Amino acid sequence: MDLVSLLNNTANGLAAIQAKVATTSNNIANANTPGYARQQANLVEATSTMLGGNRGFIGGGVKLLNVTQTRDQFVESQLPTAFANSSGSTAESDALASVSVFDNGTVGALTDAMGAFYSSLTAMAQNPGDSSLRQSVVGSATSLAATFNRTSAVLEQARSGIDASMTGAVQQVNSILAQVAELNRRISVAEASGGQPNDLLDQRHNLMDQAAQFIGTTQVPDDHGNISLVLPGGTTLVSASSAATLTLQSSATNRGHLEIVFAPSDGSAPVVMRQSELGGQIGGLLSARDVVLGQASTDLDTLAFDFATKLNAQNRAGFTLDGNPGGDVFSIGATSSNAAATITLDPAMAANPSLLAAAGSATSGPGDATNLQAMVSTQSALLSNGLDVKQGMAKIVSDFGTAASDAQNATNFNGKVLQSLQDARSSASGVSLDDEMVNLTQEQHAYQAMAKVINAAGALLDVLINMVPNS
Amino acid sequence: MRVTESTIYQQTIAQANAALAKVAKAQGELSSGLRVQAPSDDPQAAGLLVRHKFDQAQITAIQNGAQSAANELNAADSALGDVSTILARAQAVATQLGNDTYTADERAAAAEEVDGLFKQVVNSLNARFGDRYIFGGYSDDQAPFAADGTYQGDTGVRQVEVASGVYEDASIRADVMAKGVGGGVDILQTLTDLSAALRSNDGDAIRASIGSLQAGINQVATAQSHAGTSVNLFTATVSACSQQLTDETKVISQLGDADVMDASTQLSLAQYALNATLTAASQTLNFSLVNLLGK
Repeated sequence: MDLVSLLNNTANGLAAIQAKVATTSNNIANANTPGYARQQANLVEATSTMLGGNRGFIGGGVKLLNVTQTRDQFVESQLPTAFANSSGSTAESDALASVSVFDNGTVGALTDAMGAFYSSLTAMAQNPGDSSLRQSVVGSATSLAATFNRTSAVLEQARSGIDASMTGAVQQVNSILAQVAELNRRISVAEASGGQPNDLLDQRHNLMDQAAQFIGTTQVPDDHGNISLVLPGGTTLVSASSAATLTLQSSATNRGHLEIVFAPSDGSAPVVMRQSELGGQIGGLLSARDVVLGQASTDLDTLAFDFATKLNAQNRAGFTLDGNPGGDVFSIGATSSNAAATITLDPAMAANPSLLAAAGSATSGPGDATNLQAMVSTQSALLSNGLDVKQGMAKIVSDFGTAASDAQNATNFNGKVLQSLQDARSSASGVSLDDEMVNLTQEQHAYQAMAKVINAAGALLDVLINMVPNS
Repeated sequence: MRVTESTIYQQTIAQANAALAKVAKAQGELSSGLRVQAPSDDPQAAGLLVRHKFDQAQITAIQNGAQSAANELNAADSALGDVSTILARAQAVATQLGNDTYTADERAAAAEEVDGLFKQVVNSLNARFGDRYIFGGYSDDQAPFAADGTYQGDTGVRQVEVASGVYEDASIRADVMAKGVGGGVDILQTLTDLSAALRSNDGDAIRASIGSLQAGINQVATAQSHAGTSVNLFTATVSACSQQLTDETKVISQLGDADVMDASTQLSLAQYALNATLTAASQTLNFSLVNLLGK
């Protein structure tokens, strides 16, 4: 072991410490970078040297082994699902919270209009020949039909608003899928050459988090450093370096609302995705649009259709003020499809309130309200869902409320799960400035100590050199 | 557990958001006065509110109908009272002029009065409430009695709802009450007969009409009694509906309205929690080794 080797070892040590300082500096710089995992410069002892005559090994100093990132795989494996659940329930809850048509105290609510309609019928039943009472029934019927139309339109507007949100989300998902596929390719190449491309790994992690948030994908790693992204329904969106594409098309069976079409990366035939196969924000939006609001819309249509059909049938069973058989009160289609949106007061009825068939016989006078009483009692008649009008309206409101409340509770719960996992991730992978400051101080001291060794080695060399006599 | 700055930042944001959301909710409840604003606030209560509000509208409609029916029956009662008075006068005339000491001329003069009484009875039986003839049955758009006393109405008895799906009679059958259909006395015919008997100076016939007039008075009294019973029933319905409406209002308020004291307390608590969160955050976020090293 000579003094020059000592200087070399020390110089290598300084380089290793510099790598540590550089890593600390990188950690501090990226303390707030999304997806960044704290890095660690790992040092190992340099190979020691055997002294001549088998007198033992002299240590070779220190050298940099590699720079790795710190990730807790137990936590990481749970995070995609937590991201997907949290953004799914948040998207659903937010979408439902924006629908206020069923709120308590909403002016012009369906309950009030329905109550006013049956009240006007009851009032008319006391004096069915009174033209002002007849006019009042026609007025409240017009208002009821308009309220059905308005309520249906508000629900449809909310569903169309969700379509607009989905358009942006699907564009971002496609961009993310393409980037993950490209990063898979670059990471495979880098790892094949023996390195660990931490920056690329961080970028991919960040994108995978986003993919989980947008559409609920989970991650399946392979042996070559690739990560596949798989939907809850089992559809693979990214496999190695190929990414599938999602497109949107208008659905023929869902009032023209957008549906997601999956175009596999192998070029096989596109498939329409069901709501249950999707997760994350898009899954939550679809659940709000098609499950909750879709059900409310369908229930409203059924209510409008059953109510109008029963009332029309009863009016047809009676006789008008002129003694003719009654006709329809409301114009309604042949099926419940879109009934709430299209229900109107029958034009003939709107023009002539005497067509309200209050009388039970063609020959009785204008005071006969026997058929009108039967029309009043349609409010207690059971509709096709086994509920009467009042119960039907209450069910729509409480079903919607339950779904919105469930989504809110799920948002709170999923948010807490996500928060605790993010805390765990932050604990494992996050940068603590206090840690880095301590590391920096430690590295600074190590560097200063190394410099002292160089000083000492230099002094020893000076002694040696000065021992040589001047010629 | 290793705690990093980002954990503290994220937790601070989450806690402040949660505390602020509670403040917003408590504030909304207090300013709107509603505990259940959106159905999601209490889905079951929201459904019940729909039912009770619908019931409230229905009860109000029944109350209004019963009040109209009671008013109409009071008018009918008053008209029947007039008829009864007129018949009593006719009976007095018959009793007085039945005495054969009266001359044919005196009886003929009395016949004029009886003809006038006949017209008054017809007028009373053609009484209207609003635009509606009370005694015509279903035919309530035309005078039920012609000038000669012929009944032009029908046999319908109008009914009005007193509770959901329960109906009570709200009109008097004038054919029975005035024309004696079903075994009674035709009071108008009795007056016509009395007038004719007075004109023809037929003492026996005049005296015979006294009994018929008494039967007619009894018949009208029976109808009045029915009307009175119905008025009582409809008045009771109006009162019962008032009570029901008070109950419904109370239920709706209990289900959906905010308790102001409770809402104020919640608001204070939420504000206190928000203040505590922000104070704690402002103190924690300042601590870092970065600030202390190298001083």
